[in-house]
Amino acid sequence: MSNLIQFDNVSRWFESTSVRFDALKNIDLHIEQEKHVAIVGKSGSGKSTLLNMLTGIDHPSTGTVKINSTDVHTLNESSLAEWRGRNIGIVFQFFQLIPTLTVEENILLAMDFVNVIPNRERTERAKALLAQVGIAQHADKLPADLSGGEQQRAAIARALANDPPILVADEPTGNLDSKTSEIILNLFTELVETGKTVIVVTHEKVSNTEYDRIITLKDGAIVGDASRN
Amino acid sequence: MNIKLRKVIGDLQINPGRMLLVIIALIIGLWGVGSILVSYTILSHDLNENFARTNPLHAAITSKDFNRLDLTALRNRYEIEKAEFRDFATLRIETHSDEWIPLWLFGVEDFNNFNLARIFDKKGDSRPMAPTDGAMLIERDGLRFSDLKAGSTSRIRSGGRVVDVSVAGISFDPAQSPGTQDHLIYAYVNKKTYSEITGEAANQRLIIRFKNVKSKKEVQAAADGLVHYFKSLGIAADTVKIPKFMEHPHQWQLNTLLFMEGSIGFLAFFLGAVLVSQLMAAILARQIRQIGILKAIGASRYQVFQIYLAMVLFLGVISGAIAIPLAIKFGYGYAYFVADILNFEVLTTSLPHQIYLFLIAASLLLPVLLSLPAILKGTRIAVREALGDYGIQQEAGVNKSQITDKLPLPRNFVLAFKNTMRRKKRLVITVAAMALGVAIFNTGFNVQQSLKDLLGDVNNSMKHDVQVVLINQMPKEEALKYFSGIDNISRIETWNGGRGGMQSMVVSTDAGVGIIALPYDSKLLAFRSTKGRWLSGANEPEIAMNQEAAELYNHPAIGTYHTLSVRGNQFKAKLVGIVEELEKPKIYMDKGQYDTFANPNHYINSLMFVAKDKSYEKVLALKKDIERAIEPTNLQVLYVMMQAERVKIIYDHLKIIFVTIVFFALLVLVVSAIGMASAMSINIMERTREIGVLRAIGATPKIIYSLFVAEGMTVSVISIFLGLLLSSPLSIIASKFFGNLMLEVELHFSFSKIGFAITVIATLIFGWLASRIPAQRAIKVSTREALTYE
Repeated sequence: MSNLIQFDNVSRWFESTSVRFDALKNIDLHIEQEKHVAIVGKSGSGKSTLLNMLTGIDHPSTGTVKINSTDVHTLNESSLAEWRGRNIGIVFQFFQLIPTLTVEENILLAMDFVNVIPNRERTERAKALLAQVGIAQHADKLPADLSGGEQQRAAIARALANDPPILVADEPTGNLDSKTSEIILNLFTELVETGKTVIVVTHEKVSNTEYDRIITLKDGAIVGDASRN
Repeated sequence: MNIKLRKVIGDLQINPGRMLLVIIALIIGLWGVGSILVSYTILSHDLNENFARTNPLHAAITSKDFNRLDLTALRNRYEIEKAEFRDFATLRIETHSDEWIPLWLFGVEDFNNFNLARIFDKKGDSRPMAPTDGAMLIERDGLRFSDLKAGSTSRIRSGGRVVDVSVAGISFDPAQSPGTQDHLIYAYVNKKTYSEITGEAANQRLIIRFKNVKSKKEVQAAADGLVHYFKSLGIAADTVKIPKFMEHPHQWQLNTLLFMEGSIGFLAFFLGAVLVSQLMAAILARQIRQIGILKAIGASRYQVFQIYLAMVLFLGVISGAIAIPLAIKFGYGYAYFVADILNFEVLTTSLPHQIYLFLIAASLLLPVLLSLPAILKGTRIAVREALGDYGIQQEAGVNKSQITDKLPLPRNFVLAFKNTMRRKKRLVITVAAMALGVAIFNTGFNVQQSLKDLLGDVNNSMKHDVQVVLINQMPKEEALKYFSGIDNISRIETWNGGRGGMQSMVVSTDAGVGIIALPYDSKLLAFRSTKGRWLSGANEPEIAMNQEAAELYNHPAIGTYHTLSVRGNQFKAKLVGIVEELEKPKIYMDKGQYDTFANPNHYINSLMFVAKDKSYEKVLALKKDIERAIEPTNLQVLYVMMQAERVKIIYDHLKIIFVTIVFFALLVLVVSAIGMASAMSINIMERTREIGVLRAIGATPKIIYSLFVAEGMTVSVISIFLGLLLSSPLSIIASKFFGNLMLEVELHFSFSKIGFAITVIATLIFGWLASRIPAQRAIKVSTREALTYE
């Protein structure tokens, strides 16, 4: 399978008046399609920075980031927004649903921005996505009326709104109990089986039974890269 | 409904208090601009229209020889647009028992056919009903300060006679100064009644309107030509009076009121604009993370911009729906208010379409323009930065305030002071807006004090208590004999000429500038000389002028010589000084010198009474005694006036300005205080988590409350200090400006102690209220909620 995601010699540092902090150091990383990947590491290991590179939220200081044949690091803000909408679905730790819109409207909003799904199909697709993640009955509710797990599932549905090939989840179970976390992780596994590439950034302990590949970061560098079998 | 619009409406509902503040700020701004526009449109048009509808005269010529005039032939002359006889006499009328005030009596040629200087019925709709013989119409403004009414009978003093004249009806004459302000009555009679009342023949005064004249200078030239024509007919013109060209006598007052409304409206707009930008910046600040999310899920910058633009337009629509009718109502209200004072009718019943279009455009564009910086800043933010924003910035490198650390102040106060300094940009804007409000409020009081001091100067500049001015000049002894038996008279000084425009008609140069001839060393005058000195009784003829006369003579230099002509007698006099007074143009000269050149019989026409007992009641009693002494005589009296009355007339002119200044200044302070309340509210909101931490480490709600109130009071105190500093130069400028605009006199800066006290107290109260309300809301949030606040 071809590499969907390619990091070539990517470094990222942050400079203040007196000190330079290397968040990522010479990262070479290639991820294939239809894989379930975990990126693990303690706080300060560079996971969030790596995730930001993946989603185009941040640019590398040196090196190149190629995702789905696009040199992401060369895009400007406007192009990135459009690219992101079409190619990446992001799931945040704190769900980050728009609080004043219903769950269904949160999904429809994502489709309105990107405009790849035809207008007449959007409502049906939103309902289908909610059903896929198991919260169809909450379509008309505001996020505040849902439990943490339900909100996260809604966020996943939103991330899938424009049918992106890649789903990136930043600590998706950080705020959830173990039972709910298991539901969410199972959801990700199902999505991989439908052809998505799912990348989960987490500081929790993970095992090869859950993920196809586990990449371990420490002090901005990859210190471990274990594949299942 | 469109999802983006749903988001906008949802966001508006999250913090209704703040949205309400934005709407109020927008309403204030729109109201400020809108009401100026509406009242300016109405007033600038309607006063002129009222005046123009009267078909105002250009010139008035008097002659005893007009019986030789063929009026039809005159009307057919090429330069004459209109001409008719309109006699005029200055008499006196009893308004209340034993109270007599000047009466301007007009003898109308034909009530059914006004060509010029038209008058109207009471409502201003149509021609007035013609009074019958022996009856008169009273101008409506006179009803406000007299017992006169339709159907009543009035007493009119004409020379030595008192004539009973019935009031047939009420008229409206928008071309005259309001009677309430000039303290006189206007009355209109037919020719027969005029002759019966005055004892004079009718048709001795011709009023004319010329064709193709565009200035007073052109009118003068045309009038000169006409006088020459009359001469050729054997008609000698006695006087030629040319009023200001096509300008209402109180246009100056309208200009002042419009200017004041305009200034305050602009200020309200400006402060409202500052408030809106601050509030929108705060609203956008709360939306930064959401902006990051929207961009993360695929929204472009333009799409995000559209959402917040829609929010602003929505606010604009709501504000406009309230502000536009409010502005129109206030604009009309102000117009009616001014029209009532200046005695004219509001004729504009519907505003031009352009006004409405402008107001609607302003209600949409204004909020967009004011919010644009905040929206552009907010939508420009990069996703990474936006997602990392929690609304509460930890300022790195905050400098320790060593001064406050060393002062023996309560720690709470020190904390409050340091907190105030955290958001410097917001603090500067808040303090600047509040200081501006304080400065303007205090300036209002100072200008008011300047005006009051001017009135005090006016009062103190003349030391007499009652003045009697006769229409005709007469020997001194003959005039004095009538008053010999009256109590409470310390002494009587006799002059030629006196105060006011009417008296300029009696004793003046041939060009119409009033002369006052008095003993050079009279103790009854105490003017302030702005240039040169007062009269000295030197052998060489000397004159002093007031500043109005100096302007007529093109600001002559001290020491220059001027040729004066009085009843054809010419003499040269040296200008020795310019004095400052609130008066029509007047030239002062020593009576002895005046008598030498223009008054060989040493006649007088002005008696200046000085009372022994100067209390108001005693002087009023003196005035009534004088009136009773005059009644059985044949003295032709122009008027009898107390100095206190004169001051009151001037005060009445200015009263409305006093009230309006302070009212509008208060409005500005209130708007500034709302701005401060909004800034405090934002400050507290941003520190919600911090409040939670303080509560968690032991601060009681009372401590939290006092902390925020102390912060608010700190801002108030700084604003008071800066505002009062600013108000001094502002007061100097405003006093000078208002003095020139209203009175053509330089107003000197006066410090109002009461104003100072009220300003300080009001600002402290507003500051306390502005911080108390958000502080009370802050302590209602539980510790748990505050700590988890994002």
